[in-house]
Amino acid sequence: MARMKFLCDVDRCTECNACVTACKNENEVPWGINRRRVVVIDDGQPGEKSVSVACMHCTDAPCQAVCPVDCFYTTEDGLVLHDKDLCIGCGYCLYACPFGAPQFPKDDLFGERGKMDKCTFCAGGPEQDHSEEEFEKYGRNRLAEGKLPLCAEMCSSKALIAGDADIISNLYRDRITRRAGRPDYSQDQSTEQSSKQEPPWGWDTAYQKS
Amino acid sequence: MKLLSFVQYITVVLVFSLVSACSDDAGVTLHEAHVYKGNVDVHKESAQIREQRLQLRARQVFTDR
Ligand code: SF4
Ligand code: SF4
Repeated sequence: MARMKFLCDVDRCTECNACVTACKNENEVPWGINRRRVVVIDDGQPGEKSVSVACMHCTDAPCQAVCPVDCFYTTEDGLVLHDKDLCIGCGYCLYACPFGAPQFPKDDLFGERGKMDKCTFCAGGPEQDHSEEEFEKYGRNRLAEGKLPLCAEMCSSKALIAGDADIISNLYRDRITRRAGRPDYSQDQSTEQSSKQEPPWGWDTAYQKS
Repeated sequence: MKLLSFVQYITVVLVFSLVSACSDDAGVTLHEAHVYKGNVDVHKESAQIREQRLQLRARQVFTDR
């Protein structure tokens, strides 16, 4: 059985945030909640990297382990989903999650914390497929339409890929082979020019500087 | 006397409507450790069909450049 996974190729991500916007739009995610975020490491420095992060649908999910009302379940293809009717909004899952994926609406009376919301891998929730309740609580069920998560499908540089772990890991392995296993140092002034091996890709290659 | 019984009637109606407005769902889920008691996620397609369709989709959308 396939195991559904996301993979963000940090050497390709350009921090355009299109995945964040696509997710919000497709699932009509309320204001103040981002199911996906782009994290930038060493912003503005040479060698800066961006990585698009959402729920990673962990195989042994810490959120699932700590939930006091056991509202999580794992689908046959490895997606970690939850039932909002059972959630009590305690926030334990947020503390347990290494990626900060669980989000909480705060638009109830007195800013009270609402029911947990997170990435569903565009697989809806435990309501009838394509029903109004499912869309309202969990967002679009693209998987039931034979489509993959929109964030990954519309990533312009194909940095974010999603689907059967076998397929995406093969794709990534092919890319690494083509890059000859070398990272792009073209923007990194800290690397000695003499010891630098020119990669067959990257900004310098794109702008034909090398 | 008649006025009093009318006031009593209104009070009873008001109290009942207020109390009944406390919850629109009288169902209670009794928790049992490590047991998921939420709705069952029923998919329209079997896992095998879904897997094949999604593999085909991945090959279409992630053609590499
Ligand atoms: S919410 Fe966090 S801990 Fe839970 S499956 Fe997603 S990434 Fe893993
Ligand atoms: S916020 Fe909801 S999903 Fe998270 S641990 Fe609490 S009850 Fe479980």
